Amino acid sequence: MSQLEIKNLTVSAVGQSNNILNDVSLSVDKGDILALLGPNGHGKSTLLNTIMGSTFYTVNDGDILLNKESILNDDVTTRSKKGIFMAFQNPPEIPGVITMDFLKASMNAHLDKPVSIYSFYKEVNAVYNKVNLDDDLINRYLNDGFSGGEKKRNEILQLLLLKPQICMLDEIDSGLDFDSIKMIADIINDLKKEGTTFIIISHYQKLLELVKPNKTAILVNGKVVLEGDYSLSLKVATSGYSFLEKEYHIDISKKEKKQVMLESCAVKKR
Amino acid sequence: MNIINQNIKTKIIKEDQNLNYIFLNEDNYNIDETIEVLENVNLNFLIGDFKASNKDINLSFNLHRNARVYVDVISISRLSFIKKFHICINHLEENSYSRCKMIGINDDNATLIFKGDSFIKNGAKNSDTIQEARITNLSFDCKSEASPGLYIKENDVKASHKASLGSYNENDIYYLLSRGLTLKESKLLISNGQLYPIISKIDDENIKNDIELTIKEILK
Repeated sequence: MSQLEIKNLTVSAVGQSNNILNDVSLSVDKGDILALLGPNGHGKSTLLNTIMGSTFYTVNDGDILLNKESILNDDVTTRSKKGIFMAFQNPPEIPGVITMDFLKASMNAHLDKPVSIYSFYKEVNAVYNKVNLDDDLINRYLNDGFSGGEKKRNEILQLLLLKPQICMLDEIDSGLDFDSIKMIADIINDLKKEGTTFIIISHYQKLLELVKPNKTAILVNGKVVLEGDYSLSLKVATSGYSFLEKEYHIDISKKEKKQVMLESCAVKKR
Repeated sequence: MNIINQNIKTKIIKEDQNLNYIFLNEDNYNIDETIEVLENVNLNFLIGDFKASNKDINLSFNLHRNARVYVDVISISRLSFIKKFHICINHLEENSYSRCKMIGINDDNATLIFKGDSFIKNGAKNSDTIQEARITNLSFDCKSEASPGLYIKENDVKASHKASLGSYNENDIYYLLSRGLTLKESKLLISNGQLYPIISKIDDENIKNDIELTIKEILK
């Protein structure tokens, strides 16, 4: 049984008529690592955000099934509580919101009863060590003034605290040094063994080599144009996307809807 | 801490002080006062306004040499009440320093106006001032105004201002929702986060709790 099924999904940005995703179908089973690849601006982040339930996008057709049940009518909060997690490509800085208050509220949202102070600090200390973040950051405003690498590791820290069943990582490795990428890869591999499912967007070879995704899907102009296993990820990582045109005759240039001019109002007189 | 339910009477600040002026009842208030902060004096001045009533508060601070003043204003405006706060800081002499921060929440058909002006007079060299105003709007029908102003007649000074009006940042809300918080919890976290740095300066725990309950009541 597929854990997460995307069925014929067609999505546009709210208020826009042109679709960003066109008839996308994908599925992942429990414990899969799916590498979601494709050139920049072709719909990968849109897909993850749509799965997360972002109201910035409209689902015009299709369905998203989690454990065989549609989640299209579930809001973002409900999807999070059902075990879907997304590590943001650009985590927002929220001055005034103390990280500790945020982490506690997030943990409590996924528990039947509020976490005890002792358990909270015990768990939090453990994960701060695991992601190699200074635990003093817990007293700072959420992501405010964090370096790019600290923000990414803060996303992984939240993943470890919330223990989701499906983790979507949107370019988690961008801006990170090799040691940090290795640390994240180790966490992914450990969680995979426990049955956690991953969908990973990445443009870099290193992370993919370390986690060896068992599934790969390439998105071009909002469509899944090719699927495969780890060897496909490796091919993209080493040679880029030009092989799609050469071997599969897939046009990877960005298709943008051009505006049509109906009439001209400017008149030049001598 | 000083708690008031009457017009401010203090006019000359001769030594370092922390003054908290919290409006505890629902009377309307109209205050128009000037406060002299003398040489080398530090003044922390906080206005807390959470009750359903009209307010017209005009305060001027005259800063003398090396004087430092921190003015914090929090206001929550609801129903059809009209609240206006005008904080004017006059840097009269050199090395004077000021920080003015006004944070508000506006709802229903209420009006909330923050006007913060800093004047740096000729001769007030090395003065340093920041004016900041932020209002979160919770309804389409409320009227908000945040206008910090800088009037500078001297060189070698530091002066800046910032203002923001609007509802909650959608990206921030989405991020919190994606971690399992409800919309109400997300707004409460953000609102408390905006107000907390100022509320933490209030000594009285009962008043702090009262403020938290008021915010929860507004956001339900």
